[in-house]
Amino acid sequence: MNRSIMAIRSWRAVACALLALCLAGCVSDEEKIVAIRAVNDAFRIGYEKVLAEKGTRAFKVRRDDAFTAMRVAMAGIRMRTESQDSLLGHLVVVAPAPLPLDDGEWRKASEADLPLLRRIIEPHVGGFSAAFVQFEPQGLEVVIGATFVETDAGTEVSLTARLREIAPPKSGWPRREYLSPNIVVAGLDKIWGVFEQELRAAPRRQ
Amino acid sequence: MGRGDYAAALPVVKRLASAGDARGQALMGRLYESGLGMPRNVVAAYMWYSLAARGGNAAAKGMKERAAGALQPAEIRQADHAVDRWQPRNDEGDAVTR
Repeated sequence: MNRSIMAIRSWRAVACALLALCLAGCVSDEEKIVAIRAVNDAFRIGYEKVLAEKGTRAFKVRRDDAFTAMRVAMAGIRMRTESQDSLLGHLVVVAPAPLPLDDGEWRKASEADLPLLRRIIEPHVGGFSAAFVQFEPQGLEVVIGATFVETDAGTEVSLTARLREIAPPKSGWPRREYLSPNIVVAGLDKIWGVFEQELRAAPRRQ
Repeated sequence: MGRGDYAAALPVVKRLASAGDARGQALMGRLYESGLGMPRNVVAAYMWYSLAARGGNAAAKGMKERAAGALQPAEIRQADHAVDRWQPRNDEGDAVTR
């Protein structure tokens, strides 16, 4: 009984995937490119708005201490340091999506953005195809940039985020560069949380 | 810089750039932009080019604009802010007042 239910579910999953591929195939490459460009433009506006509100924070610590604390904090959430320049005060950390979010956090945030995504692409690909579009974290890396600026009161830390493709998507849709707004919010909240925790825990130079 | 061991040259170039030498800063930008001797980082390249341009390196201005083409507006804004506040440092890593 269990085996037959599992077989039906497996076939249903395969059928859904095939249907999605067929629907993706019904939309021309040109239409997909225009749709993804519209998504990128809309997400960029949302991203810039989120960054203006949540992208920069000031801390009463030395720039070097903030820099080190960010490196440690990001390593703690499995983000790998790709590039660092302590002279400039610039750090780049990378990890396969959905990191720095876990699967549950990514799902929750992307579900909140899914209606927006579908609304943006619908005029370009039609409502039927738009209804099957999903966020695909597979084959993407999340790249976080952190800039550390010395101020009279301490250090100002600013963050940016972008997506980088490491493998082409299964759906055949082009990739976007900007993360969706709720994912940006969730990611920034998580990073600030672990960073502030690390600052509280780390010993400081006098 | 043509062929060569970029990783070995890096400490020398870095020391020059850090001290405020515009040629060294432009070179740091090139190393970052092309990923020679270090991982590619276009934001850092843009910042070093900006510093070099500010220091009077004429070629760095065009390089800075080229690097900007690959960046998000937010990345450019943050990099510009960091460059505005940047100060040269001596070998001990202390800021040098000019």
